[in-house]
Amino acid sequence: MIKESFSSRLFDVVNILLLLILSFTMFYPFLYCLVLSLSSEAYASQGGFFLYPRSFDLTAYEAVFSKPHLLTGLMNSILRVLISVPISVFFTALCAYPLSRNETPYRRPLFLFVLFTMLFSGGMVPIYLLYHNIGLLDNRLVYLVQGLMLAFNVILVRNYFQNIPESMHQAAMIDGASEWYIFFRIYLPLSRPILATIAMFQTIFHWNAWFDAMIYMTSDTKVVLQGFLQRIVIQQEWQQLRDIYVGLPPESIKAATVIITVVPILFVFPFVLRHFSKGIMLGGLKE
Amino acid sequence: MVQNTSQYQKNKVLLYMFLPCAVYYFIFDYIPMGGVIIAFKDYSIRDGILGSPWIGMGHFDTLFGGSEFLLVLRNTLMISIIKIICGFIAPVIFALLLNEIRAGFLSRGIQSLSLLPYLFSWVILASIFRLTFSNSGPVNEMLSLIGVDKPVNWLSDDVWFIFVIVVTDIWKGLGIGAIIYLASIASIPLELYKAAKIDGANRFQQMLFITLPQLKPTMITLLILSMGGFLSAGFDQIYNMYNPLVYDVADIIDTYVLRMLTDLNFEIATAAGMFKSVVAVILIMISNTISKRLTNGEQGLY
Amino acid sequence: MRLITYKTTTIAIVLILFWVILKFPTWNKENIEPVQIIDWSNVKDDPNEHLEFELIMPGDAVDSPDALLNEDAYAKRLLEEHFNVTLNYKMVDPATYERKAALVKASGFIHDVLIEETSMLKSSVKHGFIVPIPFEVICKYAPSYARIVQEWGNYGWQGSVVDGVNYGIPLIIADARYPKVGIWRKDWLHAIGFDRVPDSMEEYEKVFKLFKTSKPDAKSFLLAFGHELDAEQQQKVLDESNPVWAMSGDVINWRAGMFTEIFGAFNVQPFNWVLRDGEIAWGGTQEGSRKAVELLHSWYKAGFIHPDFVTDEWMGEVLSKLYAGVTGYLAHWSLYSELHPQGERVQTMGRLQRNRDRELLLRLGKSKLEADSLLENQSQRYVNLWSPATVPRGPDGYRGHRLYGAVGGFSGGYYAFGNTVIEKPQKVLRWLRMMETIMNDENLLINISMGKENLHWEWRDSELGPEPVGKEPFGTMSYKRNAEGLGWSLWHQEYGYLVQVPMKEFIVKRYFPPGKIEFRKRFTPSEWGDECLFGDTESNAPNHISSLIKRMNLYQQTKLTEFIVGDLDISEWDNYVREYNMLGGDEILIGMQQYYKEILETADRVNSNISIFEHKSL
Repeated sequence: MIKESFSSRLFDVVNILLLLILSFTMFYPFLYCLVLSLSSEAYASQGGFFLYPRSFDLTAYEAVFSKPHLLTGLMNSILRVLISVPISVFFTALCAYPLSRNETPYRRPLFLFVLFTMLFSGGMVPIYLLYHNIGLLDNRLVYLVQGLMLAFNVILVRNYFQNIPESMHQAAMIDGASEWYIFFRIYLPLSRPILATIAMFQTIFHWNAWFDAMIYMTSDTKVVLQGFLQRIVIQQEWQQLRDIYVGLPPESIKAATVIITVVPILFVFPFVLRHFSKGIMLGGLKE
Repeated sequence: MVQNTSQYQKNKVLLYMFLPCAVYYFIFDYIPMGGVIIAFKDYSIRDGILGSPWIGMGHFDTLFGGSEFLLVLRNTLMISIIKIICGFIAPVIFALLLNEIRAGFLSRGIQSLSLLPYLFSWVILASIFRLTFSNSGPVNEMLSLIGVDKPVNWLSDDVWFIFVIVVTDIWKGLGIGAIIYLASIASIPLELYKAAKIDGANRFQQMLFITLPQLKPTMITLLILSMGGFLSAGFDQIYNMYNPLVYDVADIIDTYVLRMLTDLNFEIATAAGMFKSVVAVILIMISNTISKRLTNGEQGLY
Repeated sequence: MRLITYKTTTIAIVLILFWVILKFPTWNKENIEPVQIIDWSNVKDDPNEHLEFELIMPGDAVDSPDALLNEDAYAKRLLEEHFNVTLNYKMVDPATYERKAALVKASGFIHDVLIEETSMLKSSVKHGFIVPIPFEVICKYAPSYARIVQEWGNYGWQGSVVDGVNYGIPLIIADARYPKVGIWRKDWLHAIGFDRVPDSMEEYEKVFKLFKTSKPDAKSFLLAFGHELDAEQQQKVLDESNPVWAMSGDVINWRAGMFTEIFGAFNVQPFNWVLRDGEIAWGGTQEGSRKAVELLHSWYKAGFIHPDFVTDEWMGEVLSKLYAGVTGYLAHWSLYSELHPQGERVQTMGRLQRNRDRELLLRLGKSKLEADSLLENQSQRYVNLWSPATVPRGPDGYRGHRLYGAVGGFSGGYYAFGNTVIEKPQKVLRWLRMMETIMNDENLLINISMGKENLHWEWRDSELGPEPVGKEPFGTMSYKRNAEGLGWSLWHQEYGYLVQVPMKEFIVKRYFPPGKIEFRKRFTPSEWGDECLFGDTESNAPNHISSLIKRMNLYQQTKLTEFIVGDLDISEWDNYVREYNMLGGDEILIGMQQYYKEILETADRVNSNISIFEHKSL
């Protein structure tokens, strides 16, 4: 075993130290929020640097749950993800398939047609007016429409399809299969990794979306969880809590709302880890 | 690709598959693109898009004549440039450093942890940062421990606010950026490293001359892609973190558009948005051409 | 390279389109529809005709779980029966009212009756959402209402005029005529040896200094509980006491009232327009402002002002600092109602202080039982924590405190009518009649603002005299009252909630306990109020300067903060004033002079209308 040089070892140590400190910063803000949300009135107002909660007081959570919109927001978010993501993944793949086949007529212009949507957008106002004319305003269907077929995702899937051996396709054609059959029975099952990746992207997108709720929804019951969080913390609407909670330090209430919104994501985190590295490599940014 | 009629007949089914997607793109992406003509009209809801009178470049005159939009534009450019410069290098360095850790569990652990911020929306992160960077929050508390007695106004001072914006943006994107680069690094054959070591290169030099060049194609692609968002400067983040005290550096094109929309001033909002999109397209095309020229036609987006 | 590729074709098409658009900028629509004019002389409001209204307004505490208007809310039912109408209210939370209302309008739903803040009116007119309401119509059907507007803020009329046509009825916030009262921690004052509330500026400074140096929070605790503690515990209380400040502030909402009593003591308000020698002048650049800022800077340096004042929010962190015993003084607290012993805030403060004391007692080693009994003995402490503040007397004898505009102003606005009333313009007349009738019918007004006697409230004897007190289950909790369509606080009642009309002075006095009248005289007399010349309707100034005004206000906020904190030295004041004027102050001045002229003209116009109709009966 060759002895490591001193400089090499020093490099190692410094490197690991730096990265550990970095990891700590990745993780500390969440810890701080958790601590803040559990703090009793006296401590939360003082602020400062915490590593552990000095008291265990759930009043802030009570206060947040007492607002009716929290639960409706949660329901809306869950519904949104459960419905929008599978549909979006399906259509993304459906769009990518013809673009990946060389024999598709007008393949190149169609590809540009899709690519262009990634580059140029009408902007907030024309989109808003379009929804207004179609009747998507204040309508939960508008959530479905958001990011249904992102060009970026289509490209990822297309690349993956192109990497599937041509022999599979040819064999199926010889057996008399139609393109639809090939798409459903061969390509889709084979593309599980990339589809899972797209599903991941879309889930994160839909779960975190707040702006569309803010602009397109006028009914409070149709807002998603992140919209609710935005109103509580950023727009300072925590002040409108019920009387017995008036007087809770605002920091605790804000922190509690954040933690409530964060927890569902933490459940999904391990799955994300498993799929992410695989997905990006396979989709490939090398064209 | 030229096909004869029988081939075309056979392959028509592929077009049918694409049809629903085409309809979607047409309705939800291309029709709004047409809506930009609002920017050239004196639009009122009463008259509708077609019924409103034209006023040519009038709104653009207002936009560029008044100082408000120019200020907003300056802010957007400033923030974008700083973000691109700093935010571009950081994930690369992170990936390189991460790659150097030999203990697998440690590097995987750190990498996993670094992915955490990516999952959260800016609403959540902004809320957390407002608490963390407040005057009595942990950051200032730590500073006071090392001797800085006056608390820093991270979120209400013009300069510090930009600093926080850039740093937190990098913080959020480190994990996901590193994954992309690590994927490229993984495909480097180990013999290169062995050969370099024999030639006497230390680890640092190995990193610079073997690993880094391997990342160049990916870096360029990502850089070109980020040109598309050049005038966006991160609306999500800024909208949730800014406050009136830093408006004169934090107001960007998108927040301006939002304000105009709230005032029901549709034309200015559309004009500003359209300006943004047009510039983005031009930038992507330019950077793509430049990249192709510089790498002899090899490296480009399309 | 082939010339005709897809790329070049598309670019060519786009360029041609652009050329077409730019080349013909004058494709005007020939028939620009004239502003819909209703022929009011032909409109009759028959009381027997049942009318249905859709209304949108900012609620008081809308997001509280139970604050949404009940289907059969008491006040709503009363109005519906009395006037033969059906009222469908959409309550929107007040904090985001402007944005939400804009989106509701843009999404196509126009209500019959809207509350439009001054800035929203112009865009509503442009898009054709609302209809013009001539002054003659208002004065004919609601003459005494118009008279009150004229008396309390004739600047309000101009605020709803766009291109010479009137579109709204100014709303009145009755209690805006009285300054808001400040608050001192009475027990802290007592602990530092002050048995009354400081009155002059020197006394304020003295008290602030003592707050800073003599641990009033700890001392107050010891005064209450010290006799139960041994010497070591007492010392511990003193040693472990947290640092305190005199006050915090809210820069972002500065106009609402941060440090206003300090500026007022120098006869100026930084965000007010005033008349000096017959000319209008801006308070922020006057000499008085410099003196006030200088004083505030010295206070900041001395540690009286909490450094968080730069980012704190008035109803948020500033308030909670007071609750938590971090600060001991808060100006611009609220009106009389807040300090009423049964008021929500007072009760909250008492409760929180009790919790803090309890924790401290436990930490000192008392058992739970002991602590609770001690707190029982000292229950008076939590009622007597607070004392109202006067407004400090400045070195030249001035006192002052910024007032909101009582008419069409700050978070008030205007009643406007959506274009849906064109089909039934008698709705407008009915609404005007409702406003006029309610204002002049004491019984009706009391019922829709306070509620039904002995159901929602009752007379009770208190130390302030006999006064109306909320009755359970409606009690004093704002959201419960809002759900019934009643105003939010019984001691604050000077207007109707569902139909916003003010209570006349003599009615108000009948329902005030003598204690409140005393209070008003002593702590919030209207003479101490500094009202801006334009109320808060300056956003209706000529279009090209309203965004400039917003920007210069922000600029002023930032600069004044820098002076106070010390980032800018006070010697730079003259430079600052020059900068301010150059960047926009001069331009704004010219615009506002023009606006002032228009205001006076419009007020005159309305005045002549009122005189015609005032003494006729409908």
